[in-house]
Amino acid sequence: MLRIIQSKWLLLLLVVGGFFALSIDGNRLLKISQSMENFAQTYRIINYQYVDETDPNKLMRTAIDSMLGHLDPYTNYFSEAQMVRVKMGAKGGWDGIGVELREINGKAVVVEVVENTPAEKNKIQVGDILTEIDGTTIDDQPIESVSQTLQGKAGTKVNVKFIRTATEETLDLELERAKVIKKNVPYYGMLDERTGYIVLTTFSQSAGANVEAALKALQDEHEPTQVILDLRNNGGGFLIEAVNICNLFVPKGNEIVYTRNKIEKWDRSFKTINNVVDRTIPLVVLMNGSSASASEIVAGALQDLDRAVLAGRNSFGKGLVQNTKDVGYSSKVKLTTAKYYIPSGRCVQALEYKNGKPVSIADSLRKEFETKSGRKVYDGKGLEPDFKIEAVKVPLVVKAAKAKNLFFDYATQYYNKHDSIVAAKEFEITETDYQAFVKKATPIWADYKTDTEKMLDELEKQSKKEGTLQELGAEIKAARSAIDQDKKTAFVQYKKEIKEAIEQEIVGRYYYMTGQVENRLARDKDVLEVLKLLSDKDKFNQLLTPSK
Amino acid sequence: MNWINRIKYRVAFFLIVLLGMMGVSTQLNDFEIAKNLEIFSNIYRELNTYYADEIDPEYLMETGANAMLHSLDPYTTFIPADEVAAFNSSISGQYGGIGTAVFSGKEYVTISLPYENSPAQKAGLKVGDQIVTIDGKDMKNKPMGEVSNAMRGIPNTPVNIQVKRYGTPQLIDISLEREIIQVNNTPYVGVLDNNIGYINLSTFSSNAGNNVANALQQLNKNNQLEGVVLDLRGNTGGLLTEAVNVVNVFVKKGSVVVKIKGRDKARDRVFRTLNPSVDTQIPLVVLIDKSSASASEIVAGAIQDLDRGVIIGQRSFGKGLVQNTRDLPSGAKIKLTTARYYIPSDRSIQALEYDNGKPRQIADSLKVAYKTKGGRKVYDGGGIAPDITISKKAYYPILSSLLEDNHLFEYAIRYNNDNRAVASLEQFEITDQTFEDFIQFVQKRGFNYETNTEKVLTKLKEKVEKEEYNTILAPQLKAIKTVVNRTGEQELRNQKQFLMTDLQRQIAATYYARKGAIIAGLKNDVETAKALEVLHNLNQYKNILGK
Repeated sequence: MLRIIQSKWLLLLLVVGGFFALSIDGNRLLKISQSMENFAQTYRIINYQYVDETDPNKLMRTAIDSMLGHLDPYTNYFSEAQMVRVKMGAKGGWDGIGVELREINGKAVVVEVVENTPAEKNKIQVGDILTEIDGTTIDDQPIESVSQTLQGKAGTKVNVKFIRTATEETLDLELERAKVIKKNVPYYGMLDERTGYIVLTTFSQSAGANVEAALKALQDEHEPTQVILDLRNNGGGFLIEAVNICNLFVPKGNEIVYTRNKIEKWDRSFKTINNVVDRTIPLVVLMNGSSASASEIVAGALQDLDRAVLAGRNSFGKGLVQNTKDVGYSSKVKLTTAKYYIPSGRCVQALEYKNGKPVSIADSLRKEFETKSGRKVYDGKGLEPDFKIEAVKVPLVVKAAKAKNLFFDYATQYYNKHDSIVAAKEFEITETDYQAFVKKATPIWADYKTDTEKMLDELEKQSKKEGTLQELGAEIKAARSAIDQDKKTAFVQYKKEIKEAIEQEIVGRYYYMTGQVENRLARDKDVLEVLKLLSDKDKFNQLLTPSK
Repeated sequence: MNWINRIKYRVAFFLIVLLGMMGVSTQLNDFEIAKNLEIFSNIYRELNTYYADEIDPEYLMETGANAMLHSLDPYTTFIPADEVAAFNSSISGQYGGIGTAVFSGKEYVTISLPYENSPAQKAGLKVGDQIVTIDGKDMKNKPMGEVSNAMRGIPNTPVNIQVKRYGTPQLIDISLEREIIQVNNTPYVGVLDNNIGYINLSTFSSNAGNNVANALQQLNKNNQLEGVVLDLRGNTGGLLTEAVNVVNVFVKKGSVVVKIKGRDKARDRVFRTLNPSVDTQIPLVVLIDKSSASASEIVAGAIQDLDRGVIIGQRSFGKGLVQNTRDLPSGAKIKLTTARYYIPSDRSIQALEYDNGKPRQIADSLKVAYKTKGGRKVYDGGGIAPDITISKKAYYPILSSLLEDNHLFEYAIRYNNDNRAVASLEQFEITDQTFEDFIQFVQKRGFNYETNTEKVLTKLKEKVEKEEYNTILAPQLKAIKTVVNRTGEQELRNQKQFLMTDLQRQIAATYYARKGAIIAGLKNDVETAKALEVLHNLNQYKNILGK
């Protein structure tokens, strides 16, 4: 999701126009135009002459998707119909009523109500089912087009009808659309007297300014002596916002990232251009396997400049830059135009794409680089944390409950029974509440097929075909009942994890993502480990010093 | 599988016809098509200009085109300009080359079967020879297309090939002169025991009908034929008109053999037998297997629907779609499905439907019953079901396991090397001892027959690992493993009957090429035996045909 902002791209285009003819040889141009002609003719022939009626749009979609799919997974085509969602994804904001919908059991269910939007003001709840827009029922429409219909210019009106299953109410509302902006810094605060903590969820517009505001607010009110920047699960966004965030901790004039294109002249270097906010405060960046792209620029640049200790797990490893281009009829193509390199000169890209198939870069091909102070770092596999923290394992029962929307449904019910709850930080469900959940979940969990159970079914099927079921039947049966026995203990064995998941979901209904962070902070293993590290100054400093 | 030669329309002509008759109704389509092409060309240009890495524009376009075509069905494909020559010769059966079939071996392309009287055979190329160099150029790890192309060329030009032969330590230099290679589509015609004629038709290339007619006339002239076997096993099709001509050998003039129906009704056609037949009375058995496809299915299907003969073997492939080619600018072609065909009972034998390019079996409940000329019940939607089925279902899995690692082929090469003198082409047969030797051979080579149950068990273990059921399921997994982990040896022995025939065929090929393989494959062959039984028992024959 890395993008250079549009105006710069236009500038690039103008520059390109001048020397394009010279830089690409005539042979190649001829090949391109011949291939294009071949394709056009193929497309016409099948649409007019294939034995059955064809769908020209679908055929073209298939051709384009396959062509782009053979390059890399980030190079995609967006038809007119898909564009609205893309825009909203990129900017972190859109014009609408402020809900996010997901299809659950064939219904358009509200899964998120954004703060400070018409939806929130009109008490639309997570779990509400959207049934009508402007008098039209939405029965069989795909969820994308429903979401799209809900959107429209700020200030316009839309009539919506929701059903609230928990109370059997019907909500008939006329809402005025408004700008919907999702927070990219849902939380900042002090973890203890010394430690400031800032969460950034995406590099959407103003990410830099928002982190800056958070940092300054902490400094003004609490004077932290150390800071944790949490980039876990942050999949990236605008490149320029990554540079802005680095700039808060790195003085003016430092190169943060360098993008290398097909043609050298288009290459660009991005430097910090503003005055630094705090160049010395001890800094830890938290990351995990879903920290990607712009997150990796921030974490990587701060590692390469020895400005922060990276903690957590290896980052995702996306070192490719995409740009979006108009291709007519309101559709766009997003394509990889460059690779980016962080200050040590390395690229974090973890996979190569051979005909669209991902191939891991072999360890033997990974190159060694040096940070500013001479620490050894490597390319080709995302960023490796300086301070590794093992991930917390999610028990199978929690995964299953998520997949079956059990936490979601339970929270919806809970929310309708309780007008308010205690502060997010203190919130816990009671034993009675937990038992109520267990009662609901038990039959569903018993029926839920784990992958192991599915494979046992397949084994039974194949052995029946191959005539060995007589010998295997008893063993398969025994395996199934062993799993059933194990399932029965899950709600006791994993009570802590299940409770946490329920609490997270419920808190989200009352206090949004901010509340979710507050609720989990005290038991967030990564955060606790980092606090331990920060209290050991020698160890912290040693991590930033080259080994001899 | 293409009948392009005969039904070849010029694209331009076709387009004019189409545009003329489409008029108003497709204006929307025209707009969609133009719009989509504009979007495509914009995307294509952007990619070629700005994509971070160098990309090959031709490869990129072909990727897109192929995906689009495959989303229709697997027979609709793009043929790049540099493959058009090979494609043409595959249809005409005619090219300048050395005359051998090859396959991709581990490192080298390997001779699988030289044709009779070809330069390859005359120069002494043998089954199993690995092609190391061609005209001095190293062929190690080269794709088959490249190696084939290097052997092809203008007739009467020389080509030097260096081969590695099993049992010979040094490389062997072989000089050949390319010739026009006309692959004989009736590689073996003969008489089986007690005056039953046998005609093997390997492909429906040009003259297939004439060749079958001549073969039958010759057989009739020299023998007191009581019946005839037409062997279409392994014959994947060819020209549609040749299918009609082959049927014509056994069916009187004016009979409808096949109907072609496409999107454009004006182009629908009915193909009838046009010539006097050779013999409309002689009892006939047509042998088919699961790879008998397309034109083979028209022949078997028409013979069945007209109650003209008994079909024996396995259910045929089920290809009821007709393709045509169209020329593209710059010499490439596309091959596309333009019609379906229907055999005399009016059924289509297409076995699969394609949903976004994914094949889907036609459900039994949706299959429709039709009637043969004499009123026997037959069904559409699933190839030609033989009147007498010899089931090989239990044999296929182990056979494909053997083929995967070339076990049969490698054993035959070794056998040939170890047994310089063998019985004549007609007399050649392998013994039980050979079968035992073969079993030892494959086991030494690490033959690992993996049953489906075994495959699932491997996946099950992965899931157990991932979901951390290791401890609680350990005893059950261990017990399942002991049952599942049987060696392939028992299964090899279970399938001895079919396996012996295939092994015999493969070994005979190393001594006596294609003809030897066919003859050896008829001995102790269950299907051939069944054919003979039916043809020797006229009551049974008539009974099957409802006469």
